Amino acid sequence: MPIEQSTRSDSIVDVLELVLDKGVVIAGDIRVNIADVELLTIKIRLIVASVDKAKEIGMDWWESDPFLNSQAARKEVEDENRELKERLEKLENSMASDRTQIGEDNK
Amino acid sequence: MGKLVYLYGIIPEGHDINELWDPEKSAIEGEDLPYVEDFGGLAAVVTKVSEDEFGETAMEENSNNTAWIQEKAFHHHEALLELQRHTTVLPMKFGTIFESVESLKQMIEEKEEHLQHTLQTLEGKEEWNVKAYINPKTFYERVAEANENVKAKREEIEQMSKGRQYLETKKLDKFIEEEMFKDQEKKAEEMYDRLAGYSEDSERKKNWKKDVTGREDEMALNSAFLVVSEDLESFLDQIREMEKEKEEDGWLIEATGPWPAYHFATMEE
Repeated sequence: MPIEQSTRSDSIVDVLELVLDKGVVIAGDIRVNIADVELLTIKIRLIVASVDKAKEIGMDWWESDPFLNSQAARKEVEDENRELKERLEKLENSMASDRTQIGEDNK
Repeated sequence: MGKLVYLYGIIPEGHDINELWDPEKSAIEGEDLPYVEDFGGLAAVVTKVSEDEFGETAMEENSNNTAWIQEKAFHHHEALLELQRHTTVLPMKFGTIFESVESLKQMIEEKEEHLQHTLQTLEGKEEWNVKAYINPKTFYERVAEANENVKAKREEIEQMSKGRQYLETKKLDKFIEEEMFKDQEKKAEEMYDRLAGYSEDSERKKNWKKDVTGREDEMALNSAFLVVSEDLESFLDQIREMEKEKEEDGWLIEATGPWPAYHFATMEE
């Protein structure tokens, strides 16, 4: 049954969707523009994309306990980060030209 | 360098930070740990942050740094989860920052009535998020087989001349696809309405594209519900039932919670 306690299984993408307010924070008296949430989640998704690879080396932290282990995981993820940078650049370029094309580029 | 005030959330007055905060947990930045600022009736859980990292210009830059966002946004979320364990909390979105305690106080005083009311509304309730996914292949087959409009269309085609039959059959695929999207949306709306009936408040959100979900299935429903804690089991029962009913059609429903009430803690009236 896919009913989960939020403390155990929150993915980064879920958390970002919830804690970022449609890209703009206006509740405080300092106004901050944060990058488009969708773009941001895609970026972050790419950073943590190789779930399978991470699982191989026992880094399935987002499935077990993202909260306690997020620090450690980030280090591991940095390597993936480099690998994925190229893909991200490509993605961003295509987003700039036509956001609807992303799905195609990613296949 | 100047210090700014980072606001996690608003809580009822009379709480000590030691009962709300895990001392093991690090600060959002540097050494400044959170504390409670009382404003008579309402209180704010805040921390000091530097303009270097959280000022307007710095934030613009840092928000392009995914590792930074990931770390800080998670910290924000974890902090609110912890607060939520101990009291009713009106959670802020990540990056709610004030120039000074004075400007925070001003905001709270201006909106006091609304904030009090919202806190009362949130008491004894929790936010749950429900996402439903559809397997396009399974659902397509279902629609092709069982959809009434598709059936009618097929019968209509059978009555046609050979030449037109050929042309119309070629177009049938597109017709089925259109019916599929209509059905999908109708079912998603039904699910949402049914769950809304078991909650105090609800919000339907934009579906994520596959780039974001990283799944084969299409997201058909993305929604948030404010559920009375005592009624949670009946709410979750609805989800279990719906999933049983719809599993064969290629649906998968996922519920997560309890989240801090991000969707229902509005600052504006």
